[in-house]
Amino acid sequence: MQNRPGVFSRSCKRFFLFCMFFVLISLFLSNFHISATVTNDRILMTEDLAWETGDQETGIADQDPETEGQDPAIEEDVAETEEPVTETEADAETESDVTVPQEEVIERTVTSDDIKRGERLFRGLLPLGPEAASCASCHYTGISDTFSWNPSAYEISFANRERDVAALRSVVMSPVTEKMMEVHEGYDISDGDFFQIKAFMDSYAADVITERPVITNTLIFIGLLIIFMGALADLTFFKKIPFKLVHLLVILGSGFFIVDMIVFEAIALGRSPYYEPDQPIKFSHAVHVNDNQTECLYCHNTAEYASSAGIPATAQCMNCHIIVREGTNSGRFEINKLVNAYDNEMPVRWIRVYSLPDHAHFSHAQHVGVAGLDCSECHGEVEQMDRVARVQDLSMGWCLDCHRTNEVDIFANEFYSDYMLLREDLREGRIDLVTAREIGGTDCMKCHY
Amino acid sequence: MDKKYWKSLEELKSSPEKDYLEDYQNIDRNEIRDLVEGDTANLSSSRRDFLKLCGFSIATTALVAGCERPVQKAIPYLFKPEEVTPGVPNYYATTFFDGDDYGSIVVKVRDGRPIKIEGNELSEISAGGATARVQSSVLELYDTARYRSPLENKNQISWEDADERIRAGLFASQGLDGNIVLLTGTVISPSTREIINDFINGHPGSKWVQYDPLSFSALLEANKLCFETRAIPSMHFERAEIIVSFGADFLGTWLLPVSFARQYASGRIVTEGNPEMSEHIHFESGLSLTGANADERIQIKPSEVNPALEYLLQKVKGNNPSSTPHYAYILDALATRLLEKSGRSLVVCGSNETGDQVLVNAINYTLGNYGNTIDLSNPVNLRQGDDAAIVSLIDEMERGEVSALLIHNVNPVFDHPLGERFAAGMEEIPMKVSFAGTPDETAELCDFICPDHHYLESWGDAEPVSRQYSLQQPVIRPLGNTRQMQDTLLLWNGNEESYSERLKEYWNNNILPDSGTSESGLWIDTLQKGIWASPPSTDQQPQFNAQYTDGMTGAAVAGTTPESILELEITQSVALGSGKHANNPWLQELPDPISKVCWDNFLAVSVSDAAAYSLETGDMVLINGIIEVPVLVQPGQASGTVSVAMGYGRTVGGKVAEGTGVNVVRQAGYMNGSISYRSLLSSMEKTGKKHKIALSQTHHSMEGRAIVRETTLEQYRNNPSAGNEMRQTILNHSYTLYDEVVYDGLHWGMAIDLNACNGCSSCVIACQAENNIPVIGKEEVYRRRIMHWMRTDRYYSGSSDNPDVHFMPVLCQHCDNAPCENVCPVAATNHSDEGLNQMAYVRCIGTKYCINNCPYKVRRFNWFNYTRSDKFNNYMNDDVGRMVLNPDVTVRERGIVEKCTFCVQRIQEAKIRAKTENRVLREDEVMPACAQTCPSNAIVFGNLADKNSRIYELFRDKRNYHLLEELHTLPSIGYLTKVKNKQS
Repeated sequence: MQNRPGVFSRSCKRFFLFCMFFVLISLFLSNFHISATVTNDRILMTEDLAWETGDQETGIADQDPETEGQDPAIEEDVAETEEPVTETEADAETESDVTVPQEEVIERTVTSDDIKRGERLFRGLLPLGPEAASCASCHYTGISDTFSWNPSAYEISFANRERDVAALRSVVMSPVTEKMMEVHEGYDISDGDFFQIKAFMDSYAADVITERPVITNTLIFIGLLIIFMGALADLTFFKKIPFKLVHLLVILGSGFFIVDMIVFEAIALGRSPYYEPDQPIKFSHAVHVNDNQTECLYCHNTAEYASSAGIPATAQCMNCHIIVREGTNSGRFEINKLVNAYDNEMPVRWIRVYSLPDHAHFSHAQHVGVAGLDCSECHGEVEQMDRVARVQDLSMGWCLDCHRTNEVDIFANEFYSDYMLLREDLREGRIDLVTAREIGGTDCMKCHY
Repeated sequence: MDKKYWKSLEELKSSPEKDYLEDYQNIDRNEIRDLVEGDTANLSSSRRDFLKLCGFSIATTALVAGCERPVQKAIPYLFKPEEVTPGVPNYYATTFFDGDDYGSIVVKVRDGRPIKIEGNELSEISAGGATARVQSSVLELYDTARYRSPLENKNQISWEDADERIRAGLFASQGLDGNIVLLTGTVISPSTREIINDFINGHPGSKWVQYDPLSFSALLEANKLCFETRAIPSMHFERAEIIVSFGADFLGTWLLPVSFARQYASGRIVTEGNPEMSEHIHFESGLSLTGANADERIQIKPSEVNPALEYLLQKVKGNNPSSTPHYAYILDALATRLLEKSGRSLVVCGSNETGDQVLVNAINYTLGNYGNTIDLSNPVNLRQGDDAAIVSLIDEMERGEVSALLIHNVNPVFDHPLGERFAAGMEEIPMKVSFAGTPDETAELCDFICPDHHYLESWGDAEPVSRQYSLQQPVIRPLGNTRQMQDTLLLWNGNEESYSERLKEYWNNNILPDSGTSESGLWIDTLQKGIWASPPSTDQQPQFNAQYTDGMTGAAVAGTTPESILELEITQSVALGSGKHANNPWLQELPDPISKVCWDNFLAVSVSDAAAYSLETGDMVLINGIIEVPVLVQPGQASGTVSVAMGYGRTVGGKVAEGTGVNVVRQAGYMNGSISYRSLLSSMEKTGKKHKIALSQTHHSMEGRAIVRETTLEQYRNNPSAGNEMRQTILNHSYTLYDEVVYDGLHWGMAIDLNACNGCSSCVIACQAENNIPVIGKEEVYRRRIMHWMRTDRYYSGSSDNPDVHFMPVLCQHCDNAPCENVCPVAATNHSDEGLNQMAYVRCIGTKYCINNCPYKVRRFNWFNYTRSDKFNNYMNDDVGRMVLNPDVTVRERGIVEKCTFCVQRIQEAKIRAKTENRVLREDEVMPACAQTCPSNAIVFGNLADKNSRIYELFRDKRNYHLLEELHTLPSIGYLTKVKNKQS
């Protein structure tokens, strides 16, 4: 073997080329899927809150004193369901008319030292007051996979980027919502510190958007590949391990998992179950459906007669939110996004969670209006979700499973009176039940046209 | 059935086997090589190159596809309009009128975008039908060639600037010697007429000229002479028991084809209970759609029309004619038959010569048709243009007597025979303003362009027939910075009112009855229905002024034509008409119903003349020494004549219009106060060049089998199965080893009455619009790849000089024993529980086995990416053009097979609607696009499993047969035998 390099170069070169190619493809495949399931909320913020910019001042001016007055009542109403761990913060807009003893405004250009010290203050490396929590302890600066009601450091930086230091100061020092009051109570921050915190926040908001690092699956995959390639390299080049059985086991083992991962990812490509993107507004179905007992059909009101269930128009949200301006968990920050959108006449750009490819036609009218299916049969327990996640892979197999097994009551709808033979068979007991399959529910052109 | 049916001359001449061999030997190898683009065909490549390319492209795709799937947004309304539900279409009634054609229509608007046009069933004129041109007008809304803002000398300006400068110009020109002239097409909108009159009155020294590219000037003049009323009478083809037409293509292009087609069909449908139908005799030179439907078609030269009419008049009057034409024996017999059916006959003439029309009036008057089949008390208001007026306008322009010219909705530089003089005259005018919405040859020469809305963005009204009104409403917000002509005129006249207010005011004051409190309710109601019909006038028909008939006879006869000189006839094509819609790719790719040519006009030459001049299809000839035009040898063309369609050869008008065909309208003449669409050819020389003519038919010849079954009325009366006797034989021979499939609930079927179908091809465009069928361009059609799911096959039978013509709409037959289904290796096509032959596009891998195994050749293959590639630069490759696509139908990719689905999206929609309303599916609820638009109601769709349905009954009619039923494919489409009313 050692004396026949020609054999190696011909057979192995091709094999290596193939492997590299294989690696390349698999890397992309895996990366594709994973990053699609987790949406970087910083990207979201810049894209989707673009409508928030520019008209901040108008938003403040439009503040309705009447609704302000009603806020506490609402607060009491929802207080029972409040979760103790959450903290809230109000957006700057609500505070502008609160008078704060104005101190001297520092006017100088921002230096890099200011930003550095601002960051230390923000992250709590320098204290903000006795016993006071740092900004970052609630407004996380990192990227998190878990859902949090608190606006992130990025969100508050972005929302405040066009305001001056005094405005920021009034937000922090004169909080209006309970949670904020509680947390911000012990703050003793000088004007200089505020200037530096603001300097850091501005630089943070303007920071280059970075990709969220995707670690788990890709890293495992790369690790497996290294093991695989290592075993292969040792087998052909280095020959450090004398027992070929080890090579064989390692190659077979890692190869199996590599193929398994690729197959899994390839099948999942375009399906993405458990897709749970951050939305531009932290709208919680749990709060609205579970806590406040809103019917699904109040918002998704075309589900019974149209193919699309419908996403409520912003004006429809305002039916309630014209009064409800402060949330139990989120304070005013999130609801203000909605109000801003409404005032600036820019619709909210939600991220679509459930979508089918163009060649598959699905009708909510058929499934909700006619068959009377419960929303949760496909959408899961949305009432428990703060952030909506897809619970089904929406694959054709999943559709057909239902169409083959679920019973259709063909006596319930007059439409089925045309199916005389089926009705007769059922009456006479020749068949036990009728599923969608018997009335054409598995035909290609039921959905694909 | 010993009659020989043939589809092309080549097929008639040679035996099928020989034909096939010759075809094979004559294949142009270079042409095949052209299919592979550029020089790549000459390069050598190895397996390794292929693999390299393969690997490289996969790696690149993976790279380029990016690391993240695009995030889909779901953007709701800010304020949801009450009537809009995403995904649920709304339908609005409005009016189509482009200056030539009229249609009362219903527009389907999906999520704010108009995507489909249907005829308005409430309208007496449209009655649910729509012509191909009306159907396809929705695509022009999304034409990227449209002007997007006002222009001054081709530079964008604001409306304020345009208004200011034009009003200053108008004011200044009042002081000049010349006139302000408003040149429009026929205006049938009463409110617009009022606005125009206000404008004319508001600008002293101005006048209004109406111009029609498809002129009816002679008919109007003749009625003025004969009846002292310058009007086009309403015609009632349904009341006529005998219809005689001298070159009037009333089913295809003449006046109100959608209305006439329905009337005609209602007089021609026979049933066992009522075996009566009208008789139709047609005199013409070029084979027209109407001529093809006639029971008897007589070929005459255009110059022979006048003597024939003169002879017929004398015969009808009982006089002895002085001259005897060589076809006198036909006219003698015809006169007898006409006299037998006095008052129940109708004679029409397509000629635009006053003398001819006066004679037709005299014949109809003598036969007592006025008040019966012809109604002058309720005249048609289309085509009011005066040919003499526009010629005198050209004279004035040349003399510098016009100081300002405002042009709306006409393009005389392109479509007037004296267009060159018009263009030259325009140079003398200080200010020229065009209201054109899309670029055209006339607008090109104007200083200002004040673009009008598309008609789907406009308010308006129409009175196509006196006392029958219809309303027009915008169904989308204007796409560009355009403004409606009426608003512009109101503004220039110093009127602050908007046209929409003015329109409502006008209707409440003049048209709608004064109903007191519910006035606005009536307006809304009318707007919703789209039409308002006052009771028709029952006035006495005007008195005939007989003195003119004698004076007119022979006036227009330009002497007898020497046999050696060919007569040229300028016709219109069913698709393009005057050429206004030449930038519409749907219309350009609509095969002419007779010749099956698309993307071109051509010189139709008779079989005998072709032999005499040694011409064959595709030869280029130079006619009159100036125009080069391709030849098509057309069976049925009268010998000694050639025909060519106008409307082609646009030089300005958009990417599709420019460079297709040749403009021949300059060969028409102006004679005795009207445009004459005939002339003598001074020369015709073969240039030796060849032209590719894109024919949609020849590539699926059915090789002499009995496809169209026909009989005569006489035979049908004796035996309702006449012509269809073979069906019983076939049924007796059909056996199967399998159990009969029983359809429970729904089993869709379609019946097509070949007697009602006149081959107009409206269904083809309706299908194209409904099903997102791509336009593939001339080159691809030439390669026999046309994508239409529905086609109208045309067969000739009998002699090649004057053949009988048969039309047959062919679409997927949805066979219950489908040959295509058995051969698909991936089960992409299979049968549904409702009898549909399904096609799952995503599953198709493009083997084309199904295409090969389909005996009807109705399956289409996407050879290229017709929908996105810039090589097919029609409309689907730009985002604006794609707005016309129907979201309920998948847009097909390259490499897959597609075909008619029986409009399954409509079936599904109707079923779900019925289910949500908890009721039985009504019979008329499901209607495929072709059946819905058919002006003749030739197509019936329904549920074969319902024994009370109309379709069930029709399938048991003795005339019913299936296409190639001897193959035992068990099609779900039945055809009803054609019955002709002639002596066998």
